[in-house]
Amino acid sequence: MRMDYDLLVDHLSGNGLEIVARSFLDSPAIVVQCAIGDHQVKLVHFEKKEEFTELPRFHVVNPEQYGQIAHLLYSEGSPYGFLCISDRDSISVNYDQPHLAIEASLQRHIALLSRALLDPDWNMKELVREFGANWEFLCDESSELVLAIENRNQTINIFKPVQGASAGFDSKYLGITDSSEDLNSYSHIVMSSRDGRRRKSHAKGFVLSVPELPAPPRNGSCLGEWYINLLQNLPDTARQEFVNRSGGYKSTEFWVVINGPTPSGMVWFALHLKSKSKGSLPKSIGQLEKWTLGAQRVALFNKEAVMPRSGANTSLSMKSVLLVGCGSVGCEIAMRLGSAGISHLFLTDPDTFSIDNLYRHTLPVEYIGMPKSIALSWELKAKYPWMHANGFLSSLLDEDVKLKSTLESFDLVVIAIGSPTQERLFHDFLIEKKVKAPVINTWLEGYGIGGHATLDIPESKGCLKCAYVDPETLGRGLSSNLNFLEDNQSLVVNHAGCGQLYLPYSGLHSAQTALIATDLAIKYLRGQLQTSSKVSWKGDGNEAISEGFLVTHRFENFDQSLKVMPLHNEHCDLCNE
Amino acid sequence: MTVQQEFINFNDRIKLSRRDDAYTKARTKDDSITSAIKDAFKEEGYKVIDDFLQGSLSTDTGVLKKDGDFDIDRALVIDEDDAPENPVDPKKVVLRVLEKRGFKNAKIKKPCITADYLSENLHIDFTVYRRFGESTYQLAIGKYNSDENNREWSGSDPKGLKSWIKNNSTYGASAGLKQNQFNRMVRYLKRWRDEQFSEDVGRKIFSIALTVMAKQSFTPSLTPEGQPNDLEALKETVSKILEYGYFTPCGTKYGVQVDLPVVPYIDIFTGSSLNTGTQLRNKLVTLRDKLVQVSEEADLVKQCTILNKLFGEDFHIPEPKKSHNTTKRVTYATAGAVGTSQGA
Repeated sequence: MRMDYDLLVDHLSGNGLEIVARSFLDSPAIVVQCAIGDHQVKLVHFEKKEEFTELPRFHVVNPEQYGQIAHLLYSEGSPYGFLCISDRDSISVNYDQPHLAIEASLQRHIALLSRALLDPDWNMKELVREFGANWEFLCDESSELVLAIENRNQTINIFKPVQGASAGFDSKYLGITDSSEDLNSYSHIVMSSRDGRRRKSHAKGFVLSVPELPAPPRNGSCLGEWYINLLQNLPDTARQEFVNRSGGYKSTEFWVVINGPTPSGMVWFALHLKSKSKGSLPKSIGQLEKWTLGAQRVALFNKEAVMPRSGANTSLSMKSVLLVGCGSVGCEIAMRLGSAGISHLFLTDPDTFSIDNLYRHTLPVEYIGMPKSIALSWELKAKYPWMHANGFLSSLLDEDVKLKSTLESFDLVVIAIGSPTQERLFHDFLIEKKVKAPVINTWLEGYGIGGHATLDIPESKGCLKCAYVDPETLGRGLSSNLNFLEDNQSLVVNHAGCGQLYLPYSGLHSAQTALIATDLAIKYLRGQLQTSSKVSWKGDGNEAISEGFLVTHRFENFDQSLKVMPLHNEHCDLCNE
Repeated sequence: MTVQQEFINFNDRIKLSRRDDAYTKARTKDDSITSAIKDAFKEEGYKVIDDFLQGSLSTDTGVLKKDGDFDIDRALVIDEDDAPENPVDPKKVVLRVLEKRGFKNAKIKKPCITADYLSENLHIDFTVYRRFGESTYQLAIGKYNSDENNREWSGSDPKGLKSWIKNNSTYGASAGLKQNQFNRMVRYLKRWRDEQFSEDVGRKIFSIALTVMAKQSFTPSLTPEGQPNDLEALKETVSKILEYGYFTPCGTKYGVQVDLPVVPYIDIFTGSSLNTGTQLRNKLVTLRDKLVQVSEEADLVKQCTILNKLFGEDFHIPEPKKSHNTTKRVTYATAGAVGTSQGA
């Protein structure tokens, strides 16, 4: 519903608010005046013809008169400033009653301004807490420095963006060193830094860690003064170390990459200094004269910064996983393990990627004809910068896989081959040789009816054979008791003769199966799961049932999709010895 | 060990199947006798066009008798066009063959010819049918000396009965597991009968009657994970039998009526005494109450002690100290291979 501003004026006036004007800078607007302490604050809302899709905005008139106010952003000389009151997208607005939305927004603006104007301590803390956002406001929108270094004082070379590049690492300034530890050589950032089109800048970058951050610069014109004050206020030893480190270079271009603590975490940002003639990095107001300074945003590209922010867990980065089977389920597991932060993956599968695999495999067509495990290891390394993946061609029962010491060196073994016979044989080997390796077995069933994963932890009751206890004889069965489809049904589809039989399922089904297996793996590797467990996902079964296939009682009664449950079966002869 | 494991072990001890060694020996005799009967029928001008097993062996509900005897029920089918008008004639031919083969106590009963092969503990019942078309049968009724009024070719549906017992089309998911559970229910009930009734009364609690009652009242019980729970299934099935309407109060006693579910739809207990009905009903009540008691009991030894009293010594009572954490016997799959739905 559109706003009727005449009605709004009546509504706000009726609620004790003073409307002092109906236009601002020749645009239709509502200007509200209110007293906050000694200030008569004017807030302006420009009229909108469209309905509200977010919390209505109010701007603060003549913002410079209030000094440096947290959450109030404005350019030098601007007649009004933006007041950032919250994440506007997260607020659900009453667009049916727009006058109420306006009123609610106005109250929020007044409340925030009141606190900032009347509580200077809180205002200062907020300015520092919001340092990154304030710095962002000063930055040139088009540029960003991606910094692949550890969190410490050091000197780095800065690479200029590849000319004409508009996306990816090629479009960024790169600060990367040979010691940018752990980055794999197939990662895009390393490849980009080695791109011949990228001109190596003569600019040096000096990382400066400050123990305490002041309020951010009010605007771009005071960057220099702010920088010099920052240096002068450093502890003597820190200032001296920085002066010594940066003093030996003369250039027309420097970067000072600053990091410091805020209540909301470490913030990284940079000053880009340029001059027409060579000189040392300026360290006083006088030396700044021939330099122009620009604020730059910095994207820190190290494990500690990137992995948690983008959804991975750094505690998993040292975990080592052997994945046997790189088919449609295995490839998804590998990618999901990578996304979780696992950085040491050993993949093995004797199979080659073919056209038949295309739609349910994560690998792109470029890899057709290549061993799946090797292709997947490349994909993983390209996608996840700190991934160390290796591909091998062995099968589960090959002697080079069945090595006790090798298997025990992994934090987890994941088997995604969909072969109950080989999986049971491998489990027999683990038992016979007393191999203490935690193992996940995972498989899906045809026609999208479901998928399963078991986690067998050697020290815990519950093993793969628990999932194979025959429900009727309570002895060892040949097919899993987790299955949703009855045994001995002709489920495979003949595609082009005996050599082309396949179990019908889609990439969606293999991905769902991989998700439950990966979830189990991550929970175990993070120490959240110490009991041998099982988990299943259940589809609607419509396709299987319409094809006339028989489902199991477990399928009919199963309502525990995605729920991790104990694997132990009280009738398993191995677990009840 | 669990009570379900004890039920499965009990079932393994009492189950009679065609794979049992004892049955194999009996079957050899049966084959030999059947072959001789076929020859004799052929000489008489009515060729045997089909023969098949009836009874518990054909429906996989057989139990080993406590005395080690085996029952084999075999049907002989002749074509309607060749069949003699007198239904007792082919029965006499069977009798002659049996007597020639040394069966001392062979005799013609109303529905069949029966004989015991004492050295093999083998009891054989032969029934003779004439067949119209592909699936209409008539059973030869009559004793050796029955006159016209007491002998007849009577409508019957031996294959329909087998199909009815084996039908699991209404069991839904895991129908095979549920049908196998039903088969075990029948075996448990038969062994219970053999244990709880005197020989005289037990003989009148016909196996086919227990089977029909169990089928009509069968309440399968599987855990959500798909594992059969025989205790629960038996308890619920017996409860349902008692509520089904088979028993009619008659003063302080009960009559019992269980109709065949196929042609000729007669009451299996026709001519039974009130004593039979009363004993059957009262002992089923006791069975149900004891099963409830077992299901409420947590201790395996105590559970098995009650079950041992109901089903006899083949239902073992585990040693108290070994009831928990005992080494489980490894039971391997009997199938050479199973097609699964698994892939990755």
